[in-house]
This record gives sequence, C-alpha cells and structure tokens, in this order.
Amino acid sequence: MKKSLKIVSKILILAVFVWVGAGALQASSQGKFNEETRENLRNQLNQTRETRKDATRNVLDEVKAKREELKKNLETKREEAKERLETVRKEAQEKAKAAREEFKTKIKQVRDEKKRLTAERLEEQLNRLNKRWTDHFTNVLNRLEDVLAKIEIRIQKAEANGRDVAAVKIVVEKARAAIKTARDAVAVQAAKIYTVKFESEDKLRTAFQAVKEQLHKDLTALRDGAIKTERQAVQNVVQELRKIKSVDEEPTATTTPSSTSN
Amino acid sequence: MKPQYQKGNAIIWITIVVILVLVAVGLWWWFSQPIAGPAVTEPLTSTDIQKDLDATDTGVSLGGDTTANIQKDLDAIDTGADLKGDLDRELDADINSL
Repeated sequence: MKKSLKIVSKILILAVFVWVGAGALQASSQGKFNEETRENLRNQLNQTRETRKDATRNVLDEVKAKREELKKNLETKREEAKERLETVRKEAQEKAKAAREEFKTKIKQVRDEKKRLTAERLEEQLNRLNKRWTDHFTNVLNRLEDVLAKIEIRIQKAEANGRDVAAVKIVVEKARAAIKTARDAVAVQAAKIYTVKFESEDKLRTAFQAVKEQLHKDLTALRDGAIKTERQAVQNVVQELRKIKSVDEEPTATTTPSSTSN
Repeated sequence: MKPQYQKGNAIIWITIVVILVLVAVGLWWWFSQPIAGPAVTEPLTSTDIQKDLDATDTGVSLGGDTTANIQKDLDAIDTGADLKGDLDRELDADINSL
C-alpha cells in the first residue's frame, strides 16, 4: 500500500510538472500566435487605410484637375472678351470718325479758347468714361465667373460626397448663359462713341449735358440690366448650393464622383 | 500480498485516467479560447481621414470655396453703385463752365 501511495504521489508530482510545463508552453505559443495575428491585422488595417488615402487623393486630384481646367477656360474667355472689346471699339471709332471730325471742325469755330479746350476735353472724357465703365463691367463679369468657378469646385466636391447636385447644375448653366448675354451687352455699350452735336456756341453746355445724360442712361441700363441679372443668377446658384445637405464638407474616400460637370 | 498489489494497481490506473481526463479538459479549454486580436486604437473615422487629407500636399485649398466664402466673394463685387457720382465728378464742373 505504501509503495502504491509512493508511486501515486510520484505520478501526481510528475503530473503537476507536466501541467505547469504545458501551461507555460501554451502561454508561450499563444503569445506567438497572438503576435502573428496582431501583425496580420495591423497590416490589413494599414492596407485599408492606404486604400482610403488613395481614394481621397483621387478625389482631390480630380478637384485639382477641374480647378486647372476652369482656370484655363476663364483665362481664355477673358482674353477673348478683351480682344472683342478692343475690336468693337476700333470699329466704332472708325464708324464715328466722320461725326468726330465734324465736331472738331465745328468746335474750332468757337471763339472762346477756354470753352473750346474744355469742350474738346469733355468730348474725349465722355468716351474715356464709357471705356472705363465698360472695362469695369467686364471686370465685374470676370469676378462673377471666378465665383462661379468656385461654385463648380464646391459642386464637384459635393458630388464626390454623394450629394445630389442636379438642380444646382441647372442654375449654373443659367448663370453661364446670363454671363454670355451680359458680355454681349457690354460689347454693345463699348461700341458706342459719344459725339456732341451743337448748333451754336451758346448751346454747347446743353448739348454736352444731353450727351452726359445719354451716357448715364446707357451705363445705368447696362448695370441694372444685364450685369444685375448676372449677379442675381450667381446669387441664385449660391442659394441653390446651400440647399444641398452638408455642402461645405470636404470630400472623403467613402464615395467617388460618378461624373464631372462641364 | 496479491490483493494489496491489485489494489495498488487500480489506484495507479485511476490516477492515470484522472490525469488524462484533466489533460483532455485542459486541451479542450485551450483550443476553445477565442483568439485575442490587437486592440484597434485608431479607428478610421471621417476626422482621421480629414486629417490625412489636410496633410496631403495636393495644392488644393480646403477652405476657400465654402458657401460662406463664396457669398463673401459675391458681396465684395461692386457692380457700379457710384456710377452717377463718378460721372458727375468727372463731367459736371467742365459742363457747367461752358
């Protein structure tokens, strides 16, 4: 019996050693296993992050490309508008040459030299003012086009975020059409040459007053007509843009644009 | 002596069986444990992506084309409020002197 107990106690001690050894082995191998699993998951996570980063970069690259495209288009349009104004002004000056020569001939008959010089200066000043204001309206249209370009970038970003931008794109097209109409109206005004016709020296003041009124009337009509309409058209686009939910959110990698607006 | 020896044999076998059962239970417990993965301390929230986005050198301004900025740009455009004043200043004195 004693011998049996001795054998049993030895076996038990051996079992305890085996148990502890197995535990240590398990802890060690589980640790290794967990480390490998952790490494794999970390790699997967980094891969996912890189994929998302790439997608985000793609969206931004598209936005950048759109911005460059819009910038080029704007520069081309501006150059065209500038050349167009210069051409119509030259043509108008050619056409008004006879009327201006007639004014110059007639003004020479004015005896008062001071009045004569003032009248000559005024005639030039009227046309200079028309040029200044038509240039100003051209600049206004350029700025409105800049704003419209910014809006288009924002639309592209909203589209990249999966927002519905169909309605705002329609208003953008309307605003673009309004800009074209406004540029035409500016060209028409730029082509006008203001010449003064007067019967006699004592009617010079009334004649200039009438031409000044005409210039004011024409420029006001342009400002309150085509230019104001265009500005309102851009304002309408901004209002439509604001209706888009979270429109100011920058693009994320969750969605990509299905198409780009032109 | 013989019966004692038999009794001792039985105890040895019972002990071996018990140990084997315990080892089996231990192995079963070991393999039934769920694998613990690494703790995800950096979830990919939209804020994290935005941070990545901001850090990316794309040359794209991220703040210039918000609706508030667009509205500011639009408000800053002077379509020609002082048209009459400008014409009056530039012409009236000379016209009145005629």
